[in-house]
Amino acid sequence: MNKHYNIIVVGAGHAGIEAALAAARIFGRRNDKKRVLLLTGDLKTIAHMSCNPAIGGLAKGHLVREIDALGGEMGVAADLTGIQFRRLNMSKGPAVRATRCQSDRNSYMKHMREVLSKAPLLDVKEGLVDEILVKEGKILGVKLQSGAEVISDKVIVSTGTFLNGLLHFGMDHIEGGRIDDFTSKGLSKSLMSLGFQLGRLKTGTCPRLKSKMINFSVMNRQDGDKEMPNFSFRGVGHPLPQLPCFMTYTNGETHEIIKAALGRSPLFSGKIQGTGPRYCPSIEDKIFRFADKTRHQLFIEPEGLDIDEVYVNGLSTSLPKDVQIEMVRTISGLENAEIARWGYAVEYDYAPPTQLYATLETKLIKGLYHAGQINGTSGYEEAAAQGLMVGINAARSLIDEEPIILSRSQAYIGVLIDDLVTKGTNEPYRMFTSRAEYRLILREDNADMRLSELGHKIGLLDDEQYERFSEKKSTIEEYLSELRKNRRKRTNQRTNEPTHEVKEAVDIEIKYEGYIKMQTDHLERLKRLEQLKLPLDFDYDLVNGLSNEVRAKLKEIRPSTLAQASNISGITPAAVSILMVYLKSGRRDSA
Amino acid sequence: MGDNTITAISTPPGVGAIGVVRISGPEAKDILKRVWTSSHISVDKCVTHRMYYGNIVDNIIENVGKPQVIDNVLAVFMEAPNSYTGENLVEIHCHAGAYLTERILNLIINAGARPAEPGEFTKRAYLNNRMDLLQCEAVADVIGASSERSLKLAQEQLSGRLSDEIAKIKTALKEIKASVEATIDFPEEDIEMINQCGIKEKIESIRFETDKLSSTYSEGRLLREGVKVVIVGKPNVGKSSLMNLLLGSERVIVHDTPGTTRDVIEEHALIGGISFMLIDTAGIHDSVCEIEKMGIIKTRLKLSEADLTIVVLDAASGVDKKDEDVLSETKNIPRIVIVNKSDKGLNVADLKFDLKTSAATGDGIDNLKEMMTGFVTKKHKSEAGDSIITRQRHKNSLEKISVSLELATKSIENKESAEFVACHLQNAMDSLGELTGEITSDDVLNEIFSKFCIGK
Repeated sequence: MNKHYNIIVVGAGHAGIEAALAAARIFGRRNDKKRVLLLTGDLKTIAHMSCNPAIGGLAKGHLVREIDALGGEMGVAADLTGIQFRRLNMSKGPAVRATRCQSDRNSYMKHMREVLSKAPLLDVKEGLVDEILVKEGKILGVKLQSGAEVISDKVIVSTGTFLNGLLHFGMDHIEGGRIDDFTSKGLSKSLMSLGFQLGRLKTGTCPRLKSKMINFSVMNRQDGDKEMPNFSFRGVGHPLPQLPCFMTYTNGETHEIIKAALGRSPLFSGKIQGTGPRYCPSIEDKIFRFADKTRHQLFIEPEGLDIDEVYVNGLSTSLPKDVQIEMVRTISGLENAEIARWGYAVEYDYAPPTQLYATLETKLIKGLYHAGQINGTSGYEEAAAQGLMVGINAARSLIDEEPIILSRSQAYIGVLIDDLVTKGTNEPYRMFTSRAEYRLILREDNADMRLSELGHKIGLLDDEQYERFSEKKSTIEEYLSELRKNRRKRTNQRTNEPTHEVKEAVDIEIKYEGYIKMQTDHLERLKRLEQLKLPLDFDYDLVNGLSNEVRAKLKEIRPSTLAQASNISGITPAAVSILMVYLKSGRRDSA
Repeated sequence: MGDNTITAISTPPGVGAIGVVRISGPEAKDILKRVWTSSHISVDKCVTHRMYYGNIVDNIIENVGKPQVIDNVLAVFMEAPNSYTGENLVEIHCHAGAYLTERILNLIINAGARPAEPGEFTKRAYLNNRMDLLQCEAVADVIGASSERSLKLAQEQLSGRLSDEIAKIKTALKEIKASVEATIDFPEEDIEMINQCGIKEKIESIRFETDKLSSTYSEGRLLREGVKVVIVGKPNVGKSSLMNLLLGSERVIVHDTPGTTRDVIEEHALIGGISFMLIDTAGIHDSVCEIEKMGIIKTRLKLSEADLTIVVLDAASGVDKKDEDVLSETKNIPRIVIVNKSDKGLNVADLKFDLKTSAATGDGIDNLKEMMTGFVTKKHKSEAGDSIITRQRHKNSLEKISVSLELATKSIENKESAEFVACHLQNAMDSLGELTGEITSDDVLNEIFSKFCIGK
């Protein structure tokens, strides 16, 4: 480890990896001499999937495809290490179809380790960061637990659930950010001393069972799709053998056991302070809230090709160990199951993301960025998306380029970051398609059309991939215009028969035209609002007609555009109109 | 600090017993201190919402040499957010002399307030979430009410009745949309598909409600704006006499010579608590007299703007060509056909008429009044207690909602994917937001608030 780097990334989880790779690759393509350091508390757990060994799903799959379209790594990793691939919502429209895969946990980690080691200008080192070093409101570097100091121009904190992490097994708890893993206490203290507000969140994981003792024959088998969908646009293929999942259910007996033990659940006894995710409730939560449901669905997911363990998706819990084994054994097919890893709840510090700009740079300390679960998100995909943008923006700020801020009309990544920094979150934030106003436009199938041009421009998408993209794009445009001209002639006399991918893309474009036109007014307005910039030191007191509440909110969030302002909760459209008039009139009314 | 505290005279201009000057904004209290003193209490000690007796003092030495008492007034300070505007609000109740009130206003402006624009106080109430847009409109309607029923309607809207109904529709729509969204974002849960959980029926039921509300506009508009009633008929059938009876006063000149009513005469009548604008016209007939020709052009113009027309014929003298001309000119307008002078006989063959009257005896006038109010209230089947909408803006939004809901229903029938249904539902909810002002645009706001008086 050197004493000086240009960018330090703290934490090698899904966010940290994308950040480090993005920055290193951007520097690499310019033959820059800038260097990136990726620090992890434990080299063995880089890219570890803390709970579900799966990538994608509704809205999450969308994020992964966007990451890939921009030149990030997650899509490739998922394709290369996936052991089951499916497309969800196939009976529904293209905007809400999503790709999902089960991953071989170890292969995924191995792939990421290799990619990281191959990346130029990137050092991956083990070391726990205890303190953020700051000088006069600007980042200076980090101090490790060992006492060593490393100086850097930019620091990205992507520590996941490791800030003051507490693991709960029933009423027992131990310190840790993840099972068998350390926790970081100094870093929380350091952030607070710098003036950051911290909150507390929680999330749970499901128990893992030994595959040997499971009776799969009584369960419903779920295979992947015969035609395996891809996350990545680069066509890396799916080299690993495929495995099925299995479906089973809890039953009345299971529920009785859980009900009897609710008092010993840290959730219900109020022992856990943090707020949990509403839509990923623990099994005890589900029993309590949906009392009249006689059974809950469970998915038995393979952890990997050489791992003799399965993950019981849907059984997230922090009940005591004896309750866990008892309840598992009431489930059909799991009567003789043995626990390989207990389910547990983890409680951790997070830094409310309204303390960040849309670039994910903190407002308090120049050059300090936060990405991933520390911002209150849940999910590997949400973390990776933030990591990618942070890596890009931190790098660009060092090469004198404008930051990239994606619009809500451009990508789910844009929706994600805008929601976080503008509205904040009090519970683990998960992406849903319903969060996107422009859901019909932000589809999995057109992620490259929306973002690859940009990915190439910023230097992340390599030339080869860009070539393929450009060709696909022009083929689609040609085909589309041909069809529009000869509306009836779907069979054409082109020399090259367009690929299935192209045909599908065009099909969708045409089908959605009417709906997209409907959204055009909205879109136009959004674009206008995005172009109206609000300087950081804008004096809201000078604007007549704003309520005190609105003023306070604007001063707190300091939105960078009028579009962001309009998304702040409590900012009325009337207030936006007033700001618009004020900005356009060039402040001539403040007599 | 920006000029955020506004002031205006809130009472009508001119002379009166009491004038009210309002000051609203963060500086209201400080400004009060600069212009008002009381011998028995200081402004800081004043309790909120309480009136205190004191003096307006002109402290500006250039004006008067030494501090001069301008007026004895009552002043009240209302602390935010419990005031009309939701800001700190001061009211000064002074003697309403034309010069005096202006002088007091100028003192306040010198002390740091800015003259308010039309409707600006109410606009601030809206911006500070004290009232929604529907209630703001109702304020204007209460002030402008010219009849019992329009006042009642305005008060109901001001109390939030219509807003509550809109809120109910919004909640219902939100629930449906949430169900639809759940089927999209949670494909692995066993959530029933749209077709099974009666979503289509729920949407149709909401659409029924919004259409019903929308249909109240025809009545609501008339109640609020008043009914324009044009009285037509050939000369000398007794139009003016009838009008006088409806007005209950002798406003119109009545002579035996045809063509007496040269001008179009408009008078406001209150009948059954509803405001009617009665428009008496010159007859429609060929005339060589220039003045009469002008009158006839005016009549035709009024007819084109009329909500209702009363066609008057002479019962005794039968139906002639001129009558037929009148009848054919009015056949596409809602009308009441009256045969007047029924005391002198009935000689109209097989003419279909609505009412027999005699302006001379007063016979049939009460029936006429009933028919006129019935014209307004029978426009749609509303039960007592239904909300009524009164503005074109409301109707436009409700129509948009109806279209969106219809599209949503069609989407479901065509088995289109859930995200399309959700899209239409979102559009419906946006249109709902336009009604209460949650979603609005500059032009709509300007349109509404510019019609207020200054000081409101």
